[in-house]
Amino acid sequence: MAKAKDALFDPLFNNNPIALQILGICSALAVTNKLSTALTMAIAVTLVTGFSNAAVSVIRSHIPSSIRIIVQMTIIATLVIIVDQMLKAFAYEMSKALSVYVGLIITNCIVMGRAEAYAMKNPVVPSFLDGIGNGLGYGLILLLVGIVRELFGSGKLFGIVILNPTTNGGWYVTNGLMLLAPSAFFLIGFIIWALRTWKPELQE
Amino acid sequence: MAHYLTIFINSVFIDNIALTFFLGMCTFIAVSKKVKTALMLGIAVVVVEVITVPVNNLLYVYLLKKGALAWAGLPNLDLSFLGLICYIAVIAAMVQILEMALDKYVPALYNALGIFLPLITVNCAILGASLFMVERDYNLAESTVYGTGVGVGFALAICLLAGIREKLTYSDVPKGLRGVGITFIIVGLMAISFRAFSGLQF
Amino acid sequence: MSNDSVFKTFLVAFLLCVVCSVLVCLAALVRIDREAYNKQLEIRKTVLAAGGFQQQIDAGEDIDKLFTDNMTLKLVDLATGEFTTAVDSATYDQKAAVEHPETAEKIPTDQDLAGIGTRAKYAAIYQASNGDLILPIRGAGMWGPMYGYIAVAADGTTVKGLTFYQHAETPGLGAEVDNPKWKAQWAGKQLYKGSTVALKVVKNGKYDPNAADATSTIDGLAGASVTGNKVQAIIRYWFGDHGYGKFLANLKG
Repeated sequence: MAKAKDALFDPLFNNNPIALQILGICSALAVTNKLSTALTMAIAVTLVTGFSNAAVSVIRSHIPSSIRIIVQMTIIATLVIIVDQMLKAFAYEMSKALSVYVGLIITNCIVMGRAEAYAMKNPVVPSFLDGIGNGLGYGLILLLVGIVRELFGSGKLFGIVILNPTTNGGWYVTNGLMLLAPSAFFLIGFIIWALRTWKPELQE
Repeated sequence: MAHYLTIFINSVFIDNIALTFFLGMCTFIAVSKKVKTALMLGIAVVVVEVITVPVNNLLYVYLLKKGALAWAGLPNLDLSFLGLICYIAVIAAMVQILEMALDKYVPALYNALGIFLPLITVNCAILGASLFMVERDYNLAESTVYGTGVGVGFALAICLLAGIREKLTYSDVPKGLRGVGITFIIVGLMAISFRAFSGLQF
Repeated sequence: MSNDSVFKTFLVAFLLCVVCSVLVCLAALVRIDREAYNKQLEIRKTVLAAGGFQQQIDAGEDIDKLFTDNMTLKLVDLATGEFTTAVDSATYDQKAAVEHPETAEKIPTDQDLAGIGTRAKYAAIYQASNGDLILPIRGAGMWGPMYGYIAVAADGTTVKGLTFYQHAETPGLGAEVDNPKWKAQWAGKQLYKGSTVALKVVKNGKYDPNAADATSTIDGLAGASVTGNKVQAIIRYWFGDHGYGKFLANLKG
């Protein structure tokens, strides 16, 4: 039980994939200018990581080492296509907002990294939890960045006006920088700084 | 001609794949400690982009696009949902072929690139360029130019970052921010400076 | 059996491919089933929004009912400016028509203000029950193509509303073309002065409500003069002679 708990919660802070392993930042940051897209992306990645880990773990004793990478890639690509198609079917506007970034989950190093490093060596349940945990660790950062960017960039959270912006006749002068790509880098830089001040053993 | 130049300049500076689309970030941050290795990786990315984007373009136009199979009597077949899996397979295959070809004919370059070549398969800048090519409906010539531009843009960005990080060794950075933290902030500043190119018009 | 034997390698690869392709195909079938409806709903929403039904949409009324009750699809031959029944309007796809030489027309470079190169011969427009016309427009924006609808009153010159449903403008700046407050100022503006297109988008804050041409002037977006210029160019092209000019002139005459 303790092992399962570790597999699930360790990636949240002690071994966060984004802040510490520097994995999976690629496809994700462009989707954090709105909280709703960040949340969808976080859920999508969590599901893909969880199920790809489980699937790889199920067949781990049958995978020939020569085609190991391609087998993992195929499983991941299948899951990503399913997620992509489902988004297009049931959340059409969301899938347009995420554009190519759903597809890019395939090359998200977290998914591949966990399949290779954990799922190939561990039984199904811990592998699944490890995948979910890493997805959540990734989602946590995504949501933090998303909250800050949407709140200060457009004065809203989930599209609901919190700080009434001047463009709507309110008082809040929106911070345009927050909506642009670079702000995500600053925010992640500061999150890493905060995390490493809180847990000094993680410093480089 | 001006049209192609615009695509090129756009993809190198304005729509820089690393600094405005956040693609290829893992490698971007992990392999930017030294200018020399950064340059090697940059060259490898350029080569792979130049090959894979046009090949994926052909694949898309003649096989996957809606109506692309009209010659086979299937005018309404739309296979574009298979795009992702095909592009990644093409990229993996191309990288593998390139690796073997370089090993045989240009061993010096092969040894210099070393581990970076296989790593490129999972670099999202490569897959991203193919996906953007599809989204923007480029033709073969345009996608070749676009692929080159994206590669050059990535190489330029990673060399610049490596240069800054080499200088950074002499700076007094707060403890918690050392290493990755400060790198993120530098990348943010670089991204802002690249936005200045958005005023370019042809 | 050894995992690394040739037979097992092929067996695993084969089984994996079968399982994966079945899953992918199932997902694609579900998507294909829903996507056509989703796209139609999006177009309907935009047309209704441009046609002045935003309040009803926000109130959560049934889009399909609202649409079928109020809008009729018609095809316009842009070269003659007449309604046409040469192709079936229900199955006509204007976006696809642009791709084929036989259904599209090249725009002369000197007239191509919107930067689109070619346009479809026939435009799929919507006529509202009160006579308003909702016309599709498109053109190059700052970062990518912009697609939208503009509603024009039966007099052929008064704008009723404008909505873009696809664009890639800068978030917070050019993307404010979606801002309801900005869109609201389009209602009542005059497209034409005499027979020339007069509508213009000026820099943010340069709008003077007392100027002689105020009825044809739109206040631009803060920090997005390029987007403003592009929107103006799109309007100027589509309401010029090569766009809806002839059609609207016929309507007035």
